[in-house]
Amino acid sequence: MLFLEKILGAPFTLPMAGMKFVFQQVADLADQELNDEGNLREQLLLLQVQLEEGDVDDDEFAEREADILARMRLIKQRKMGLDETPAEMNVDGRRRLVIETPFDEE
Amino acid sequence: MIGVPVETPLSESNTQATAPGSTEADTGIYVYSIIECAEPRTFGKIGIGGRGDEVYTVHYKDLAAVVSRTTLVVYDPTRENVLAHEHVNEVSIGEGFTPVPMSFGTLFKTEKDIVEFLEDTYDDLRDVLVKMKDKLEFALRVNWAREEVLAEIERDDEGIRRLKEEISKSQQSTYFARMQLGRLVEQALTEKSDAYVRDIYEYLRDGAIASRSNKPIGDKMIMNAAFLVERDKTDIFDQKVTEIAQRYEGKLSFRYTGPWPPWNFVTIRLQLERSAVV
Repeated sequence: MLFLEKILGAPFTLPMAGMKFVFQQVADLADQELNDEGNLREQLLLLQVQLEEGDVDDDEFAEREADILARMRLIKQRKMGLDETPAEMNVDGRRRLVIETPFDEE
Repeated sequence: MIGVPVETPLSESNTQATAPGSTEADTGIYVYSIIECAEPRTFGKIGIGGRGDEVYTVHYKDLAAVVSRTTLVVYDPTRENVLAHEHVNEVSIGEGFTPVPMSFGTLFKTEKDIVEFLEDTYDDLRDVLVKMKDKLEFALRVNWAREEVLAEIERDDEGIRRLKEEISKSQQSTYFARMQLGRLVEQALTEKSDAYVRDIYEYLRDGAIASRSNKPIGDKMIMNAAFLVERDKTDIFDQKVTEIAQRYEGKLSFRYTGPWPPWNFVTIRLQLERSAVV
């Protein structure tokens, strides 16, 4: 009986573990993309500060800005492929307004 | 932190927006901000997109959206585009308005859609405009001269000075002593930086209605803050910034900009409805 269980158990548990692994990978990839986007946004901010402080010149700025934006665009396009046109420009989508006032008067 | 999601279905259709690469014929309207303004206005041919589109207002009652025509494209946050967006807000501030900014890249298809948007969200927009009336934002970024501060620490900190002397005299392995020195120096630097930032906030607090601390950008920056200031008190606030900058001359450099619309204190953005009701 014990032996049988093991045999019967295997085909069920193995694919389940496999599925779980695949789902986990998809989830990790989604997280990774979000992180990438945040990371790229930070790089862009840093680059702008470096330009303002004269640490990079206009040519280098233009080159690096184009590179960062190209990578951001790739992430956006991938999201759009997943039917996630950004809300700002989704003129045909059903949109709702969100107002945030993240401060309290002192 | 107040989040007010307002249910406002703007369009019954749920089809995809026009993707990048759309033709010139696909025109839309870019929205920069919402202002209190009952009469139609124009702000010059300074619209985003580089075509010199006129910036004008679209109205519902006493509210207006500041807009310009554009092709329906996704606007990348390039320096050029962001500056174009900010410039429109600067001009409207210069004309005496207090714009409540829309998030960068916000597009609508038609003026009618914008009027509907203003109508559906009128009460909430009015509330936020009243709350922000005559309040402007100033940004302050502070960099430090790390080497100067380090030299000061090594001069003034008794423990660090003694440990340094011991290391330089010692004949034996100084690995652990060096590790400890490194830790002490790092800790002292952090304490200094925190103390500077605290002092600056403390000094400027009286001149502002509210402040917000953002993450410093890069290694040199120790403070990246935004302050909300009454329009008629901006002179006093300017003066206070000048005074605190003088106090730290040589150690800290101040980069002070504004007035901006209150980006850091109010955001109006659109969110896609996840569960569309058919």
